[in-house]
Amino acid sequence: MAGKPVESELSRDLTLFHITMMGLGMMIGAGVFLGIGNSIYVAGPGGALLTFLLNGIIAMFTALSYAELSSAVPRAGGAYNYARIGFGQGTSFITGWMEWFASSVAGSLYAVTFAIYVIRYLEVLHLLTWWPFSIPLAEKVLAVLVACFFFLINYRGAAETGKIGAIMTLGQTIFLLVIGAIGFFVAIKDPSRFQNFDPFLPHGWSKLLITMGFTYVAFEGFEVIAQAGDEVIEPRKNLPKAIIYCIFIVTITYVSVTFAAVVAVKAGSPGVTGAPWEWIGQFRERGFGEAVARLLPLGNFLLTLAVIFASTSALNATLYSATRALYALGRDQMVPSFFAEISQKRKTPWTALATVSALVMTVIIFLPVIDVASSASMMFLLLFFLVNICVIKVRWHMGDELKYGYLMPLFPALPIIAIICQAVLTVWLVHMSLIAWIVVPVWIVGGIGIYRCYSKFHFKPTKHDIIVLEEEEHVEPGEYRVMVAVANPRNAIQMVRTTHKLCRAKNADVKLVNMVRMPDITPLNISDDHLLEGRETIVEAMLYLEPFFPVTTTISRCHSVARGILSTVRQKKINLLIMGWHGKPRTQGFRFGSTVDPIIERCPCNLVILKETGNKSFKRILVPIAGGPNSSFALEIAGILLENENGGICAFMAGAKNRRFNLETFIENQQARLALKNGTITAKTVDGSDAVSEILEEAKNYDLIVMGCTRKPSIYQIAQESIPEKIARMSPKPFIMVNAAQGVKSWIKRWI
Amino acid sequence: MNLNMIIGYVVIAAGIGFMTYLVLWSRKTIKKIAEKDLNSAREIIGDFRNGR
Repeated sequence: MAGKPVESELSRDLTLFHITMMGLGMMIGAGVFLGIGNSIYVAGPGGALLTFLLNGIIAMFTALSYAELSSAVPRAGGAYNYARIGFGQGTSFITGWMEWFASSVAGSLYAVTFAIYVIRYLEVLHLLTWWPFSIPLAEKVLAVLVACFFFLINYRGAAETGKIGAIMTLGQTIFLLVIGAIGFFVAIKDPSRFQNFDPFLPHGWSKLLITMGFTYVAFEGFEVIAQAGDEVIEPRKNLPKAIIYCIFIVTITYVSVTFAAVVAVKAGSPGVTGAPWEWIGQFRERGFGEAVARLLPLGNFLLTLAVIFASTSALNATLYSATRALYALGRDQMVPSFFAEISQKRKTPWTALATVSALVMTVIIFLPVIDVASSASMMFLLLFFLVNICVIKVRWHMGDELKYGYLMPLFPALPIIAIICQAVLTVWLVHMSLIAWIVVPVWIVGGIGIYRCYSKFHFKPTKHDIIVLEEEEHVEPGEYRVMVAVANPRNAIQMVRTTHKLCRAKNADVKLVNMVRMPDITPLNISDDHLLEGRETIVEAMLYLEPFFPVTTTISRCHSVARGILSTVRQKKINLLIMGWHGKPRTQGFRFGSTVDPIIERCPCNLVILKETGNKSFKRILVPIAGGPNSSFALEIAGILLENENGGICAFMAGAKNRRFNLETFIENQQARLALKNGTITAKTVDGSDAVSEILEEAKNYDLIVMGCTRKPSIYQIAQESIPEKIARMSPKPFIMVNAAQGVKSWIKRWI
Repeated sequence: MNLNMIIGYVVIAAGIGFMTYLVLWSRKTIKKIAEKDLNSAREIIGDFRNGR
């Protein structure tokens, strides 16, 4: 043990209750207290209800994305980690950079809100007569002091942070729900209060976009739960639960207190002029307080207490959130690793915490918080936008590698709807604060500059990165690029002849790749021990191909061979991917294997998969036809591989009775397209009900079967074996399966 | 009661109902995945479809 370095880590002691309260605390901050009165003023009584409900639904869609990602990647960092896995280091740095800024300045807003309410209450009680300076200065001093207090609380540790925040949040949540309950009780006791909702939308439905925009800040905060991944007990279960519970509780709370605020004021009661909603709306930010004062005895006092609880718990949570974001950047060396230092005594990231606290205090002292807080809102919207894209990309590319504790329903419809709504709200924020539309781009551009000058040279690769060990790129890429994925020397030799014919037909440049798979537990950035193994694999193929074609080679180390191959296909803009398949039957939910299945599903270019083709020549080729684009591509491949002019291709259609497809016309068109001699392709149809048996029976007379992949979505194929899959598995003959690039779908696959 | 009010109440009721459904469905899913010790997305989706 002597000389072994001691590693420090965050302690894991936050329960489901703690993290749920932490999320609630950050969400039920000052936003709802300021937002209700303004919403009633702009959109009317019904509009205010709809505002919080619709915002809650949009936030729920994003929360489901966070829940899925947090269950699969339960590490400190939240959106930063998701962006890292989904898009790579550049985007992840910008995400962490934005997250840190947004949380920090939101924290300063909560500290100032606390100070304002406390100072004003002290003024009412005449307890500030001794203060020799101005009231705004008193507010700033108190705001800085409360920020210092919560710096110390967070420094002491996760359990302490969780417990204090949980108590405060529980108090304010219960208070708000009591207000909501009293409102319902009052309305039931006096049904005339329901008339306060008439007119429901006095200014129409269009005002909802404005109110939804400026109240969305009330739904930011649940992302702090995702950042607590390293400190949560049973994170795969508790993180998604906490996130989803938070949004639900908050939405119900906001809708019920809004209802209570509207019914609190009785039309015609002393001091109330005009319709109740107009009377409440005239007070704008204070409207909620004025309404609650008429609902409860000591309403103003109680509400002041609630705001104090809310703002301090939100400050506590935002300090936590911003600290973890900066810690994650330091941990991965995107910023100096100094920011990832952990206190040996308290096991908290004290340097990141101190930096964030300093930023919060700087903003309190020097900057107008309202406009900067609007910038924070815009940052959060852009962050959520990114996270919704990440959940699609991560499930698409890494769904087979990660261990999920939760999968969201109606995928990918829900994240796509959330993306569209967040984009609209981001654009509409320009009506609230023009300064936000200046600050946000400046901050992001600054982050890009830091990344280009520092982070990209210092980052530490994570287990999900693909490391290129050796790459030789000594030729100019031609018009048609073929990539051959070789797994081992024996596999390479078997594919050479077929590869040679395909490349000659396309006059292609050839890229040979070997992906060295590393166990998940092994970091990728270890020594280059596998370089020799990769070279041995590739050199066999090179010996045969290099005399004829421009050949480049790449050897990479990765945790997922499929992801490594697909990543290279995209980067090198490959037109045709050739790979082999061992021919073993389906296991563990895969049709062909853990490498082949993801490649069939996600390959953005043409794909040819070889099974036991060896170095044989093919004089008679059977091509089962279904009529789609894969059939055309299968005939093209068959035409290239046909050994001699006396050979033939049979286009075979089984179960033809029920198909509306003219095989003869199809063959005529294909022969012309492929410039094949007349009669090279013959047609045969069989009307039986068991297509698989008919194809296998027919295949006995042929040297090779070439067949297109099924076009059914993979979700259907998990439950039921497809015809190509059965043929591939059962046929003793050499077998080639093809998948044609699909135009727009392939273009999308290249980018997502 | 005018049309906006009717639509508004329907939207509110449907919205709360939909959110409640999402919460309950999610709880059930998390529990199922943990009990069966499922791992990848493919495995989970396959299990749900097969009803294993």
